[in-house]
Amino acid sequence: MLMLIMLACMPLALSCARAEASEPPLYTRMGGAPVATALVGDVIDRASRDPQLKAQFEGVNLVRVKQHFVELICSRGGGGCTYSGDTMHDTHGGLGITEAQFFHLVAIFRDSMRRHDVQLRERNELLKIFAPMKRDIVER
Amino acid sequence: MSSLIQRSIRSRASLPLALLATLTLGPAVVHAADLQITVNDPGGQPLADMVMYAEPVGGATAPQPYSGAQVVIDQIHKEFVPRVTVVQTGTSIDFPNSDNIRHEVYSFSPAKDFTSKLYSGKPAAPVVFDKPGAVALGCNIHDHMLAWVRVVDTPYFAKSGADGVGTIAGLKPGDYRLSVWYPAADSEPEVQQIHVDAEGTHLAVQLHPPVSQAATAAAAAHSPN
Repeated sequence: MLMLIMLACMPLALSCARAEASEPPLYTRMGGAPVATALVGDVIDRASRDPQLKAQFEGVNLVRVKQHFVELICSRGGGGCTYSGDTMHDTHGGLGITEAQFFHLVAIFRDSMRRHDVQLRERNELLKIFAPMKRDIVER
Repeated sequence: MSSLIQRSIRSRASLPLALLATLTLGPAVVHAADLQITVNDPGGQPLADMVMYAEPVGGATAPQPYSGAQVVIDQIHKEFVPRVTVVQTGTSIDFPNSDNIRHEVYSFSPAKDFTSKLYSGKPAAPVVFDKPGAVALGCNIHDHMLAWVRVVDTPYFAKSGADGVGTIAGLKPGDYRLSVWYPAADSEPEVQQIHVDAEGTHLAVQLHPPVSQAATAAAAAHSPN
């Protein structure tokens, strides 16, 4: 019987592999739009009130920042959105963001992910998306 | 600018002439065929950045065609500078960016609907204001940034300085439809017909700040400036 099942699966190896590849994308696994929106809202609200970071958010339209941030996670996380914002270089250029500020925001982001029950694997995948952006964000 | 002009005129005028001018024309001497307008609120406080423009009526000389002047609205420390601009229909306005961060100027106003991304150090294409009316400018990135462009179908326009005085220069003597506008979304120009004579004319106009601006105006009146 076991033999039979194994044999049955053999010709289907290709479709078995496909089944594994079509597991839900990161955006779905992390909880989709509701979690992404809540997470991003929390991160930006905390960052814009943080003593180390708030100067960078002075006068900034936070609603827009949040919309674009969610869009970015959705687009990069396989959620099917199109990111309509500017490049990381254009959006952060001239702000003089320090490495310390960048890592401080990462710390807030990690903490918020835990607060919103994003699991370890998804947390790491999200960090992997944002880590390479450091070179376009940090200026000094 | 207009306050500077006024001060230089005052300093050059001899005392008796200045006194005579006070009696006949108002508080300051004006150039021949200049229309000087003082705008105050009902409490007598001068109103700065008020828009004023004169359109010839009847036999007065028609406005000369638009001269092609280049006008600039800069972005400095996350503010539009200047906050109020008056231009003749067809004028092209440049939006440089003196900040080292990006801005994104936009307007949804019917007279000009546009968006322009302003990156630091990258000049953006000038925007042509081709329809008369009020244009509210905002920045998509910085909520608080607000400026007004009033596009007018006449070359005869000015705006008031900090002293509430504006001067429309070089008018031919005659009758004009004078509009004075408090830049705000809920404000319409106050229109009156006036006569400008060869010696120039001085007018005092009282404007009630629109509801949206009443609080701001009250705060300004109580500020030490």
